[in-house]
Amino acid sequence: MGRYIMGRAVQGLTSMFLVTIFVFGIVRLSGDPLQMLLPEEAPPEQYAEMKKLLYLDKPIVVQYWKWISRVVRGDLGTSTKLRIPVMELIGERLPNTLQLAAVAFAFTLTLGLAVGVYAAAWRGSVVDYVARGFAVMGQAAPSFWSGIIFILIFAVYLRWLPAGGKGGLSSIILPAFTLGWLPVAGVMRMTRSSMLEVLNSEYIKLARIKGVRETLVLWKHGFKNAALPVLTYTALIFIAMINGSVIIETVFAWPGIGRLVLEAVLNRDFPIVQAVVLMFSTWYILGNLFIDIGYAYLNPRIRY
Amino acid sequence: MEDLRVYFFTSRGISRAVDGVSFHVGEGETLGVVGESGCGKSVTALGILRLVPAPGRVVGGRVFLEGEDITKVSEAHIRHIRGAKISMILQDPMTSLNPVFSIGSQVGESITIHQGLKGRTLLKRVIEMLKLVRIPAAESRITDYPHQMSGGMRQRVAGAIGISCEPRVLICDEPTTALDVTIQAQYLELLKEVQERTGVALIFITHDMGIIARMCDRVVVMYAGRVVETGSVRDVFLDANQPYTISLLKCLPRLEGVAHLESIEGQPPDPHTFPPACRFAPRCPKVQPVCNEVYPEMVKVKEGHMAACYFPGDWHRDK
Ligand SMILES: Nc1ncnc2c1ncn2[C@@H]1O[C@H](COP(=O)(O)OP(=O)(O)OP(=O)(O)O)[C@@H](O)[C@H]1O
Ligand SMILES: [Mg+2]
Repeated sequence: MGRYIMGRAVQGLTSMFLVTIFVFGIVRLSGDPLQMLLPEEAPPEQYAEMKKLLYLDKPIVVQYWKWISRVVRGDLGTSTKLRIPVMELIGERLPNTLQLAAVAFAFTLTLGLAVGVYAAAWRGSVVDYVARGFAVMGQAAPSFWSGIIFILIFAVYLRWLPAGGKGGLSSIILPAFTLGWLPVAGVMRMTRSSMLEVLNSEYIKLARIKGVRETLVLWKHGFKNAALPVLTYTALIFIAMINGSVIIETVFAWPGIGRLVLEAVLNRDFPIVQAVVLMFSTWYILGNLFIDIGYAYLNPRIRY
Repeated sequence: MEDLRVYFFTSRGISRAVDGVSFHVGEGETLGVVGESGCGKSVTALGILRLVPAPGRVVGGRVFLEGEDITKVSEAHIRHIRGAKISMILQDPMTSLNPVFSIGSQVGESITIHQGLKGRTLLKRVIEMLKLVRIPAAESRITDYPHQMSGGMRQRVAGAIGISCEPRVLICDEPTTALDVTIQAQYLELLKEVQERTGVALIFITHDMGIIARMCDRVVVMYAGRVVETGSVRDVFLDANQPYTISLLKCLPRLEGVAHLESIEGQPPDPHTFPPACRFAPRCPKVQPVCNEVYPEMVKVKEGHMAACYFPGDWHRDK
């Protein structure tokens, strides 16, 4: 197990390294990096200062080394538009995005897994049909559209929930639900089909023969097996939520990273975009790493 | 067990997979249940435990265990019977163990459920059980997972699970078909030994007449969801009275006459559309008009030997 984790960690680090090369390279590939990193109306003295800061007169390896050692220390440059260190901007917005993602994720896992398991156990029941209908809609409706529909129903007509912005507890419900709907649908469908297969297996039959209670048959003997493929899928949920947050935060005026990066793209504020790409990639790689470790923990065939 | 009926309510209609099967088995006795593939042996076994998968349902019959009709008891009660009083070993050792739990925990599970053992006492019992089924180095193997074991070892583990709570009845559903011949012989030996030690009644399901001859005291021959002949192994083998049993025995390879190996003509009927009368009639070489009218009752050939045929024995004797 230790060796397996080491191996995966090394792979993760390698991926991380490639990402930094990419982020570092993209600025330089597209010609003069200063033109990308500075606003068009920047004065010449700022131009010279930036050039020194980036060691543009030094060989490329040195440039990378200097850049990466700054990144590692948490210095991601300064927003060209807002003139505020990128780290500060991110630090301000990140908790909001994390909050939104955490609620959506918790919602995805609990609802997706629980409903998936029971839809399989009670195949053909009302629960099963409602769940499948819900899943199909979740997968068919684009989130910007479902977001607007939810605002119309719950904020405009019913006036139960706020239409946007970050306020009290109620303000997170609509965006989290919208962000979670697609992944819930995915988790639900995968859990259901995986569980159906498991429930047909001989070892489930044996568990029942042993006199195991039905709840335990489902959750101990069935779910632990059925969860394996679903777990891998949660890696995709991370991407879905990260990608999704850009749209959802815009629709619901949620002050998170997604909106920050959207504004930055519109303003050609390159340091912010660069930092966010780097951050999302790290996030994704770490997520994958944890999932692989979790998978190994659950699946003895990998653990040994 | 009296007149057990298990029907499957499928989209193609009602499939009468088990249609009035009766037999009994006593303490320390081994009953063989034999018949072609699809004749309802496994469904009968699951019917006894009330674990027939949907869309199947036990629609009739009574199953008595120590005088109590377990088809009538509550779901909670039957759960206490499963694994504790009636247990079962499944056919395929490769798929019947749960891949994500260690074999120790799988053997221990029913002991915890039914006898409440935990911790060290449980561990001791589990090791004892694994030793009973001759798992070498049982102490160190309890933390192993099924994928780390061979098929023969896994089937022993399944056996240990089956006997872990010292059941009164152990149903073995073709436990050796997936094993090679030497391992198979060892395994059968093992079951016999366990039976001698615990006095468990064995219901041995197979389609191998050879195993029946070697293992069983009495035999029930099933055809298309019904019992067609039953009696002591000796009586049935030496004086088979029902044409299906006779054909089945002819399929047995023998040392002196391998060249005569026969197979039964035709296919067993589809359980959705069973013939109204004798179900073997369409394949029976000696079929008479009456065979297609009403299902033949079981007739007594001699004490403890019954056959469902209008012409029991005749057929056999004029051959
Ligand atoms: N899930 C199911 N749905 C519908 N019909 C079923 C189902 N399971 C079993 N059956 C029916 O029950 C009949 C008996 O099946 P069963 O498994 O008892 O056969 P068997 O005698 O154990 O055969 P084998 O020797 O191949 O194990 C089959 O012919 C099949 O038509
Ligand atoms: Mg079978």
